Amino acid sequence: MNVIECRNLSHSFGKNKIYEKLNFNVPRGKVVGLLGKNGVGKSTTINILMGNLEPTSGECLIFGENSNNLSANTKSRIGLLYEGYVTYDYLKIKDLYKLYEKEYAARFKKELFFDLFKKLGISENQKISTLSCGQRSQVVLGLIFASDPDLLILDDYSLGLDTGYRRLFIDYLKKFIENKDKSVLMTTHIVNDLDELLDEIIIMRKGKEPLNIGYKKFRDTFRGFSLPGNTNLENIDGIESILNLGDEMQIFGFFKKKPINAKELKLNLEDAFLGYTGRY
Amino acid sequence: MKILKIVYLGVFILFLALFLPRIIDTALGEAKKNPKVYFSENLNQFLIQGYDREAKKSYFLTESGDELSTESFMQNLPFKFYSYLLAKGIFPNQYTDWANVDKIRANSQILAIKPSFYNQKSIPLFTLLESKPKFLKLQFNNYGIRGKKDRIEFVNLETLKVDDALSQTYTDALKQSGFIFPLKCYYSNPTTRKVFDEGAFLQDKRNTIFHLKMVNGKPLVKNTKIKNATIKKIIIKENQRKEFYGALIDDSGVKLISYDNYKLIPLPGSMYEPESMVYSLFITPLSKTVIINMDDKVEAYKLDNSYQILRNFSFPIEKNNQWMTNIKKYLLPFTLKRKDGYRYEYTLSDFSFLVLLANALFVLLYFGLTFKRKVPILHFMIIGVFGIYGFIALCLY
Amino acid sequence: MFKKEFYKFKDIYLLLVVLIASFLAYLAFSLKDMVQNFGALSVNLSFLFKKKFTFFHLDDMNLIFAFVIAVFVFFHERISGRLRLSLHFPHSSVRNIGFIIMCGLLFVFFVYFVEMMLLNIILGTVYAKEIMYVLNYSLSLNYIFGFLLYIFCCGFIIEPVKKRAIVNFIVMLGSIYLYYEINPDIYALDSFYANDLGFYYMGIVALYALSAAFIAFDNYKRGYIK
Repeated sequence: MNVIECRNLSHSFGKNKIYEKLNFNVPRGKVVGLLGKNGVGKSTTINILMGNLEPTSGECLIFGENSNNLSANTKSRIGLLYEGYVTYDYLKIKDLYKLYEKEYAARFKKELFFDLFKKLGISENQKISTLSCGQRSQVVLGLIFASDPDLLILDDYSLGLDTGYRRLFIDYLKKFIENKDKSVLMTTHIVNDLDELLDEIIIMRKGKEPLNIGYKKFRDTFRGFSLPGNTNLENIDGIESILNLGDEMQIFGFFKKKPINAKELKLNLEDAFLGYTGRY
Repeated sequence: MKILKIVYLGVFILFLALFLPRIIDTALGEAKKNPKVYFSENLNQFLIQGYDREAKKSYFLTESGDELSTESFMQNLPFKFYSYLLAKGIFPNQYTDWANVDKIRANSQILAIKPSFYNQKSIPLFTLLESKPKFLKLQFNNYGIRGKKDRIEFVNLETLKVDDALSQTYTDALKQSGFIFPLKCYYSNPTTRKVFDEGAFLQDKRNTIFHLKMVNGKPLVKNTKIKNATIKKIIIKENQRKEFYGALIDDSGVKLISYDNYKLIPLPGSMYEPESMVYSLFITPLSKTVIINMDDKVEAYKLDNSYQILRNFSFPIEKNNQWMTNIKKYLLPFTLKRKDGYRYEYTLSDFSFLVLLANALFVLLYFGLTFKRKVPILHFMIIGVFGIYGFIALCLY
Repeated sequence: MFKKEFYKFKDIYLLLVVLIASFLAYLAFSLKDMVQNFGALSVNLSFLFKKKFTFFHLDDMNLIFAFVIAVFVFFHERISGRLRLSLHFPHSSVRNIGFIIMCGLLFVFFVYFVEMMLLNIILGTVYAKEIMYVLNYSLSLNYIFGFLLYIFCCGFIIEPVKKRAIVNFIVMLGSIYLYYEINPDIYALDSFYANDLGFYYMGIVALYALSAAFIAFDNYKRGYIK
């Protein structure tokens, strides 16, 4: 069963076409990474999913409802994290907590919030605006976790976070989804953090069909090779991108067989992502 | 949402219909000209006083168009500028019998009805002065008077308490004179800066006018027998000539309420509109004239002693920028204008069919601007009807 | 939820309430002075015949109050697109939007209500009820226009399309101009009943302000623009 279904999604801002006929699904219990370089429409897609943007054509269904017109019940099942940890900065932590506790009364699990909050070593009476970016992110994420959503949509959760906070978040996220009944759609620019976390990835590229593939399959089948600089690439099928380093040439793609004279590169997720999208 | 958009556009079009003509008037309009017309007993003709904005100086003319100097203008209006002329010793010789300030004042009277005065709706609370004050000087008493369903009520304005006894006395006096409650309207001249007081004129349920005065604290009521359902206003103006109490304005014009048993004396000026025009009755020892100042002309009437018209004169007020009126006629399908009156009432006016060409051009222009977009036919219909207003509204929407 | 709204304007609200209270106190003391010096009769008569009365800019203050509160309410939603959060609370969009609008409006209403009560107590001891009617009528229009200014702010702060935001702002300025023509301070009134049709005109302005506000929210929801 899919919690998110995007069908034939197209969007343009005026004459500027962002993408056309985008299709993807997020199955229940899966963690899906929506990846892509800047400007390919990740945030646009997330805004459409969050009901803050009406697509030029096509539709997005979340729990079977149009994302632009979600019922109150469906909204309560979705946890949204906006890029930059947008929240009510002018409130104190305790007031923000009470707000979420009241709004999500039926589902709210305060222990999830306090568990994370205690680790920050800050007072409940502090204003959100006085917190550091990392502290603020954990307060926001803590409240989202505490509202116990069935679907988490996280827009660039890693923005402005140091390694420690990123790791803390990933640990909590892993705990949050361990029962396999929660679904997550997330975007980030630090893709290596997501290794071992993702079930599926969607990689968007400007003017091309997005790649919607299982994470494991991607990691297994997407490969990179180093070739001598003067190699003729015409006979090699499946190349997605080429990196020319002078005497050496690196090719990335879904290859059925290892090219002649090629030396396989060891790719982490970031390398593979860049290999697929192209570095520049 | 569609309805909201229509409402939004509709109100915006009204907003434009109100402000666009005002902007055009402010940008291209000219200041209002207010020439004054007087009757000269010397010359037996009307004189005009005006201001030439271009030359930045006053001008004085006779009704036949001859220019006058300031001195000559003043000398030919001896009963207007008598203080100056007498002080300088140049009061015209033929009027030596009248060469006395007090005598002229005692035989002169001006009754001016200005829109700013006419366009007032009074608070339903009036006062009565003691008409025979103990120490001769008129002064307000402590009471405000309000009309109730079946009586009038005296409320002490110091304590805000109702004086039941006084209320009863005056109510009884009115009832005994045939006044039928409730009180519909009152007319008085509430000032102590007058020589004597003539109380108030009250309009009863059947539109009969009663004259109420307070004399030695007691009510004095007279049924004037004036019964008129179209009374717009009665202006009371006490004057030592004691010829009339004031003027009554109704649908048919202006009438004076004479001291002769409240007989009504009709005055000229059937075209007079009190909401926007100034109506003046000038009485000097030797003449009676009525001057009506309008936007486009001044009408003047010389009257005899019984207020019959002897002759009349009309002075047109020319407007320099007629082309601006034309621009508006060809560009603006209508305007939202404030009506003259005591309240801010706006009406749609100046409908013009000459704008059809401009409307068609705006439709074409809009078509050109939206050529590549899918635009509802309703938009073109809106521009077709509302012309420039619709065009601006839709372009900005 | 109330706190979330109130904290947007808490400080400025308290400041403005203190200011309004000061204006009110000034008006009360001035009236007391006038009564002591000239007597209540003279005060009533000069109102009746000379329109000698002023709110000492309390009426302007009321409008500024509503406007400023609205600016704080809607800017706080607009900054960083917080409105996206507010719209996602598990209620219908209409309820979420309604709450944002009504909450601040309720705080404005509370101040207006208390002010009107106090003014009626202060002025009602001196002025005849016919005069109080004129004053209350003028104040009611003032309060209603305050509410409308509040709604207008929504139309140009929330509206994501710049062109429309500017139009809404200009229409608001035009309405302020007309308001002061129709319902200026008492001494500046052309006639006591110049504002006789004020409620109808307020109705027309309300139609525009409300449509502009709903269109603004709808546009925002349909195309979030930072």
